[in-house]
Amino acid sequence: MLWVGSYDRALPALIGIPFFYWYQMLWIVLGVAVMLPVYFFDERNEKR
Amino acid sequence: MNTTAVTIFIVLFGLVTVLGFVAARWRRGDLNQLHEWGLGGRRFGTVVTWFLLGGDLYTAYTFIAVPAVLFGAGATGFFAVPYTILVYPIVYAVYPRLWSVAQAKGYVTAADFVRGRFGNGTLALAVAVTGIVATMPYIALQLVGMEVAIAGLGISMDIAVPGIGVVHDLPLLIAFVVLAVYTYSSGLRAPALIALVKDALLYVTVIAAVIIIPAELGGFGKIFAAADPKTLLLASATATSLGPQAAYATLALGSTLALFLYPHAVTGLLSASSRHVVRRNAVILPAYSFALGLIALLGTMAVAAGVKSMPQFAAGFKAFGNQYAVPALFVHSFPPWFVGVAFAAIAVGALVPAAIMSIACANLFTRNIYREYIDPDCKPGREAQVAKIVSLVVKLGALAFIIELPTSYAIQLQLLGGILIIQTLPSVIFGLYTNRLNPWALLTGWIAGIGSGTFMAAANGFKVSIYPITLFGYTIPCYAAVSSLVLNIAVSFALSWLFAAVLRTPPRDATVEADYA
Repeated sequence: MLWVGSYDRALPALIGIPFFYWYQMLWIVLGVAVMLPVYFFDERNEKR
Repeated sequence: MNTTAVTIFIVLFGLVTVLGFVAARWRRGDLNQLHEWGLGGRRFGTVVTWFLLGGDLYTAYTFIAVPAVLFGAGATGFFAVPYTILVYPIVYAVYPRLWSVAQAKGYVTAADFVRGRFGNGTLALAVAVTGIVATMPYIALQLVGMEVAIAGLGISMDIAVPGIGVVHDLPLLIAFVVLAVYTYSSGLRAPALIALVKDALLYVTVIAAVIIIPAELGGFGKIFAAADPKTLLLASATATSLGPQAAYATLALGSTLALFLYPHAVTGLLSASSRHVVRRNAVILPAYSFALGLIALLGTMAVAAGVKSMPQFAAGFKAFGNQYAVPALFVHSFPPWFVGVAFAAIAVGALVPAAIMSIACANLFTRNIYREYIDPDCKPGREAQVAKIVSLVVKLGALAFIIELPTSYAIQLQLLGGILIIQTLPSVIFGLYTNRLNPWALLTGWIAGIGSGTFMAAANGFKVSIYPITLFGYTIPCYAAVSSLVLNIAVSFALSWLFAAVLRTPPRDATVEADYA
């Protein structure tokens, strides 16, 4: 996310939303997708 | 003024007030103890913590100010999205440790932890004072958010009261007296319970807004086509400067690192009932980030709707500038009854963080200034009493601030607040992992960070937080919080190493590794 140059563009647009905007919104979901497995892994380890 | 909207607004506000007082009986505890009043007895489970932190971090001011930047300056304002994406992995990794050590040692504030970890009261005092100073203008800005919502409803701020004459800012005064009284009586339980209502209102408003408004405006394609093409994206780097992209990235990074150092964020986290709750919340809180992203886009929608040139909103824009963009958009797009709901969401959204912030300041003052320096032998009952009174004083200060001084001062101070609070990072965050940093080195680093950060902000007249740094003829526009933090960390480490080599004083650490697990 800190490498802004990698997503600072308009295309491809999604339902009229420029790439810059929808790509960052997508990363909110991806961030959760990354944290979930880590969470389950950690919780299981701690129970043992 | 629309009667339907105002009625709905007042009814919802009244409901919330009742809840605030009822909260004292909820999960009943002895409110004469600081950790009961100021941390809700550390009893909040996953769901309550989620609402509490969501209500705490995503404030009314955020919901007014972030779209205002997109409305006025375009893409830059969207930095709030990467910022809230980056923050949660850090919370996940770091904050369960803080929760565990606070639970093991009975810490209520970050400064308590620093006191125990480094055995140095002066460093703890620095952390506590930084927290209070950085939070005060933040509370004031919640009032701005509320003011904008009340003005958007068309309620006059100056109301004639029989027998007294015209009272300025009366609606704001009423709202804040109510807030002050139930915070005093219920402590952290009040904002926790109110946050449930606030977030329900908020999600309804956001979902309705992203369904109704783009449909009215002819779809997202048309909305973005109406935006200024020059600011729709960030300008790229050039041969001599990294340009706005670097500013965007450092703003996101600096805000990320600062967020969970704020006392109200720490208070929210420490009120969780277990470290698992903290972790679970790091995973599920991004739901709010998604709402924030959608709300940010309201700024662009307001451009497309053309609210700025509509005569009925001229007075609002004159009084509040671009911050009036979202209220104007709501009035323009929603039926009156739903305008009432939406504005109640904003106004109640101001109450929750304002309450938590004043409680957090009260905890800091009581624990790290009053008990440390004024009355070291005070009883728990006395401690809680002092905290309650301080929470009142803090709110009155914020209210006086907003009524007496121009709003722009509060915004400038809030901007400085981020630069200040981030300077506690080496003591608090690095402190969670090592006790080998020297407290006097950390204090010197703190002074260097505060000094350089304040200098950079002052050089910009406290108007912009981006200060360009020139290295070998190449300009890097950088958020002053980030560059001053780099200096702070460098000083802290270098001096710690030097002190360790010369003095060889063993760390005076009151905690052991097992406290952190």
